Amino acid sequence: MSEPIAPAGLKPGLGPGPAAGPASASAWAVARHRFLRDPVALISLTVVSAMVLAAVCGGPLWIYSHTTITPDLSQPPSAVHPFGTDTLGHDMLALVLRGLRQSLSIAFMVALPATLLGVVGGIVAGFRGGLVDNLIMRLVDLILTIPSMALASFLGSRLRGVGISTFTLSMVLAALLWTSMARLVRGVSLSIRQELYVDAAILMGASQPRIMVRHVLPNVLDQVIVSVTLLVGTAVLSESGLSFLGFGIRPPDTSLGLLVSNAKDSAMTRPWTFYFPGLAIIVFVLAINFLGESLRRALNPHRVTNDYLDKRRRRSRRRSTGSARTSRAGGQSGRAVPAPPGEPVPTDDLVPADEPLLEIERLGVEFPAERVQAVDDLSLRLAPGEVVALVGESGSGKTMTVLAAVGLLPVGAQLSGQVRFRGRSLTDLDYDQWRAIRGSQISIILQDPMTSLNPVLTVFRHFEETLRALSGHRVADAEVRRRAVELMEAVGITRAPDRLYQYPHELSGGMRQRIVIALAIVPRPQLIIADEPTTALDVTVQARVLDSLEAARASVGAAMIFITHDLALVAGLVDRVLVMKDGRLVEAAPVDDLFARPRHPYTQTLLARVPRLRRGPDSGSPPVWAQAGSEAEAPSGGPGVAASPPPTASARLDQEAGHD
Amino acid sequence: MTEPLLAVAGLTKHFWTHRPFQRRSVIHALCGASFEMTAGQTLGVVGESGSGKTTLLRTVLGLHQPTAGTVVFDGDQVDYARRASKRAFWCRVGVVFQDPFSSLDPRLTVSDILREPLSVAGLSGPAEAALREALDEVQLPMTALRRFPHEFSGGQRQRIAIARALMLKPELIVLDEPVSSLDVTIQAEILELLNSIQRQTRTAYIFVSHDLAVVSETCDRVLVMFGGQIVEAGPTGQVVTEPQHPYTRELLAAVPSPDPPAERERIRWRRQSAIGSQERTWRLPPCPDSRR
Repeated sequence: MSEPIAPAGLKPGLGPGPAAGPASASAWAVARHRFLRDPVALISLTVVSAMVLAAVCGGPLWIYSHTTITPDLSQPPSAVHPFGTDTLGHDMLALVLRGLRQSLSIAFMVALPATLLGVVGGIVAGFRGGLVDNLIMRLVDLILTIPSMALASFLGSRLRGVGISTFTLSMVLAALLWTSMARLVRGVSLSIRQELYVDAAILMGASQPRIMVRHVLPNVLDQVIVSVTLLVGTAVLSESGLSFLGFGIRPPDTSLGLLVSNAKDSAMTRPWTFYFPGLAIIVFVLAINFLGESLRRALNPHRVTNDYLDKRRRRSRRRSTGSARTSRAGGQSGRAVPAPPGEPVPTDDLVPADEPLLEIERLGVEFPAERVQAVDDLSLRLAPGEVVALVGESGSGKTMTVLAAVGLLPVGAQLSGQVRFRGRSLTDLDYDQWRAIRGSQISIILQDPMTSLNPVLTVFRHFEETLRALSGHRVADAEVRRRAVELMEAVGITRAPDRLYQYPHELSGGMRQRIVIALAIVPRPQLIIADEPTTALDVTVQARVLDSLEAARASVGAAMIFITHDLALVAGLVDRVLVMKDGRLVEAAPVDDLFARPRHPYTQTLLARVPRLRRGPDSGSPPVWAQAGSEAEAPSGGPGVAASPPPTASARLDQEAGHD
Repeated sequence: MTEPLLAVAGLTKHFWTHRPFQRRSVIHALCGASFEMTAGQTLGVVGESGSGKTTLLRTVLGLHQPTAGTVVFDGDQVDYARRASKRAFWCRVGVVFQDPFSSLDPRLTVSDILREPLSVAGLSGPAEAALREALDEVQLPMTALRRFPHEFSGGQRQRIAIARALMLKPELIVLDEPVSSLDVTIQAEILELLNSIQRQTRTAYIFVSHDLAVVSETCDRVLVMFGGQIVEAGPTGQVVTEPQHPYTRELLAAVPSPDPPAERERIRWRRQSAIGSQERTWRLPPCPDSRR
């Protein structure tokens, strides 16, 4: 088995990937594709472009100029004057176009220098860190303490005699508004500084300016583009506000803010002079904010609000159960179709058919949108108390199989086939029925303990919540404490009472995973699903966590499905091994048989690829632990201790040894 | 005795914590590490997270300023205070990091990624031949050049990272857990690839891993690290068969073997012995505080 390196197979069955875009596309091209499919984006982009176009070309094209005085005084909107006229006979449309032009040119003159200053300052501060960062950020803090309206009005009144120029006003606003951009860019740059590709560039000998331009800038750019739109909106509003108060643009020139200001007394008698410029401000700012929002969605599609996702999820689950029934019927009619040649589909018939705990029959998981068949025609049976390993590499469908079994398939997945737990069909349960089963009879342990634990809750609170959810009422603190300590000791956590009030981030990775294991056995489940529970951990820690997991599982007598890509890991842990490849089961056998006589070529490859301790020429020597094993029986503690005198004590390492 | 390619003596790195209104405390991330390696050799560095193996690498490379100690590369001492000296060293050393998702800039094509070492080193001009050679070496097709990192799987990205490390034909490649985040099957492919590259180019490797089994398959010599100190060093075969330090024994006892009866025996034994428990009964000697 070698990795497919042909261009056609560059991304082999990785489950739901990004939305179908052009085959070889940069992140930009993918974002553009997403943007062009978003109706809000297209509408807001159209409105913004139309208004910019009107501001630039509208004035000269319209029959009246903003200085023309027509004989029609205070006319309401008509065919000749679509926006009406003011008291002096100026055509309002010409005035609004002129005002829009002034407002937008100020917004542009503000946004451009503010963006430049903010991006450069932010990148330099975030990337250089230390003193430079401190200086720039304290300057930003200082500017943020200045009330911007007060400063601008002060400058406006000092310059009242000469009248503040458009340019000066823009520069003042830019000097005040660059700070938000700088803060944002600094934050992003700080995290990019931690990326390994920056270290790689440093180790090539690249200079700091080069790294900032080539690596940091392109990676902050998507965030910058989004906030530029917001900055333009803010600039338009600030200019309008200042002009309205009389500190911005002064007559005879005009801006949207000034127009609103001039018409404020006649808003009731001649509403058209007031509402049209006001509407122009609102429409432009709204459109540009929506544009920014759509850009953000196109560039960072993952930040969808949870609520939205939840509703979609529930809907998709119902849909998928519906389709499950139909495709099951289809599956039965098509049962006569033989298995693909050369690949016999092994049926997992090693468990007696009477009373299996979990029974999966002809399970299929498909992502129609991506045209990916994640799991294909998979059947397995699990007896009560049995421990089974599901082995395969990433993309083989092993995670999708168990997610389907516990009703947690991602959005867009289509399920077919049948899943039965203790004789009860699980494929058409609703959300609440699922909750009852998942909370009490099936426990799930995921790869990354940090995502399973809530970072703002202490260990104690996690146990309290779990116990409360299980019993349905509040459990007394003393009782929680007693149970928690008992469970934590059962999974080999020392000094459990001390750790009760620690937060997840204060614990090591192995300790966190053991807490997750302890939480998983609280309801005394009948089935534990462990999805690569030790992949993120060091080998030594992995060994201890596996010890804990097995001890915990045995203590409640649960059955377990252990998902992994490493065959060696499960050799001593499980009763049976199921090997998956490309969504199909390729081999299922009791553990000793599978290791001694792997039948499928893929299993043989997997087994051959397992890293083993190479002992050089005398590979016949027994394993180290076996040499020391005799000492383990001796009364004098463990072999490690007995074999070598402990080196001198160090208080500092006391703590470290306590963690794993 | 041939001249060592890399000689590290007494390398120490202390970090001081900076917290307002609190006393500064020192973290002994690396204590007096000394080792030598010859050209074309693979040196394994093994230990758990927090054992200082990554600090050792980063300090040798000059990503951290060493607190004390010297590094001599090919007869010349690296002066970490001088940028020119560091750059000369970097030009002859390649690096491959653990996480192939973070080590490739997502905004650059593979072509740009592979050209970067050349252009930083000031080697302009047509690079087609060099790119082709590097891709051949890591067994990727030329069509990969126009693609972006996100279009590749983890193993393929790691191949790209290795190709980048090979661009300047380094005499030493530092591999920081190059296979830890990969599936077992892909791990084996990458290890095979690294082996074949070494056979062709005689490049020396420093191979960091937490997995003694992986190290025993690839390395000639091995350093075992714990708590910022090298607790054991020697030829791999010797360390694996006759471990001297209790921590090495612990590492060995943690390696699962693909043999169910032996595995069950090992797990049963772990449960009874001290190695299975969390508390270590031995202590390291304190780190000599070399604050001046």
